[in-house]
Amino acid sequence: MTTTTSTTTAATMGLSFPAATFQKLSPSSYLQRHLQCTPATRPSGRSPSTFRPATLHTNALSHAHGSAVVRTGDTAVVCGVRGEILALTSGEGRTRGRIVVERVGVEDGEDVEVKTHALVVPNLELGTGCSRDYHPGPPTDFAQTTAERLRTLLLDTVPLVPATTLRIADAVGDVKAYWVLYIDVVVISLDGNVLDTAWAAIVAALKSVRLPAAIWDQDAEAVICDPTPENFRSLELMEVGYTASFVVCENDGEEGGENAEKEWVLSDPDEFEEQVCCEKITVAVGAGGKIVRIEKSGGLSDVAKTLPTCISRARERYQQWHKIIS
Amino acid sequence: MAITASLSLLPRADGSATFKSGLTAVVASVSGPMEVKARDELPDKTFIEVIVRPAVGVGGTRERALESRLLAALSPLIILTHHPRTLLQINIQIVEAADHTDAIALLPVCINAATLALIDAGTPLKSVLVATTVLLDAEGQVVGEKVKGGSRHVLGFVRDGKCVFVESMGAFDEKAFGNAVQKGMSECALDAGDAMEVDGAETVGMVIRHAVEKKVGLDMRWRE
Repeated sequence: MTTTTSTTTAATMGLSFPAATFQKLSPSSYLQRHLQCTPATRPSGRSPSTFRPATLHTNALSHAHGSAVVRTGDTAVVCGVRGEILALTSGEGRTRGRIVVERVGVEDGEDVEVKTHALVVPNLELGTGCSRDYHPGPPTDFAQTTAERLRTLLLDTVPLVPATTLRIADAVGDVKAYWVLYIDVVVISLDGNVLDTAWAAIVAALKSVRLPAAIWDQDAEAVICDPTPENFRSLELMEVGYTASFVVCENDGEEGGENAEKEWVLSDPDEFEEQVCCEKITVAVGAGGKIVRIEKSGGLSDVAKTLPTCISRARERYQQWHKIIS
Repeated sequence: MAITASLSLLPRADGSATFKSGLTAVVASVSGPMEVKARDELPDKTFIEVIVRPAVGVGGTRERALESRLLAALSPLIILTHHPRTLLQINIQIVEAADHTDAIALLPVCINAATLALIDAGTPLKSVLVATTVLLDAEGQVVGEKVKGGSRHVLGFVRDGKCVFVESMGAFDEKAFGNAVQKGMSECALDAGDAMEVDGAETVGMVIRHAVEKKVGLDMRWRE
């Protein structure tokens, strides 16, 4: 009986198997077969140049001074910003004698304090069960790397928060304290391209920040905050930039003739595409279409071929983010 | 900026190299193919591990980020299928750096040292990656010093002159980037003959070529 059943199944199946099995057995050819179609279509149904549409929801967290939830496809990220006060005078408990006060005038253009006093502290955490590969424990290399990339973006590449907006000065104009912004990003769901989404969440959260009006009380030698919500203020942010990430999928199949594409640049890759394609490109574009950062690694394709496509698509993506966030 | 390189300085590693550029110096060593932890074992490929150790203290997120950049830069060069189910470990010790937080200054030095160590270890490679830093001013012209409003580019080139690794920072446009790639390509060329001297100093490509030539010369001395 058992033998008969197995023969029939084998006969009906022949040498074919469902697409899902093909995807598991040979992920790279599965992706390539999709892209070799005309027009090239990705397993998700998108064309190579399409980004996933993003949705934004701000100020969902009531305890944070500003927050944002950004979702692109199945990647969802929450970002909360909380301001705390860093007092510089020796009278204030914890900081007694530990901080060297540099009297930097408000008119001074150099925003060194953001770095020297660590006024902006971003962190990224992968939420429990955010992806199939998630396992509990200390932050993985991936989480640490992404957090570090976000930190460089925020502090070096797109310095969004100027020190001027974080200073708390007394009546004469001497800086007495600073607002420190703790920016916590939690990835709720991870389906590829976490950097773009997390960065957009950070920008949106910073834009939604409302800090209480803080004044230096000369008599109490302390910072006093005004609790009335009407007097809360937003941050004065600098020029915004947005990132766009890509993967390059090489066509090593025998199909396709002379004019078959050698490689495809896939915008906004999902997790499956990120696993299959090693070559990754990230381009950050600022206001006016200026390029502020390029990262490319993981493959042997020439930048002269792939980068122009990436740059024009990154500019397109900048407009999309700009529309959603501002 | 004086650039120096040497190979095979660590007797117990399978391959090792030092690379020094200006104030930044690193030692790289390569061990492998060797036994891999069961968790990391790949059935059809070599597992590559990159470990970066800072000059002072233990590594943090900054080193993890540098490791992942180096892994992405180096793994496409290595023919992974030659030694399946093995581990290839690349250790990079930063010896000195002008600014330890500055990944842009560390990256090219680490890449060059690792490339030399891989050559020294006899790892099967598809090509050789040579990296350099190019500085541009606000107008997109190549300059020698870091200027305000300019941009910095770490560019990596393989043997046939293709630019395959980029890490750029600062505001610039496509034309400026094109200038940077041009400059980087001439700096990193390995086969340009004796004409590759800029202001009397050797280019990165030439330093690497001479370091390998010297090493091969020493190894082949028994033939004479």
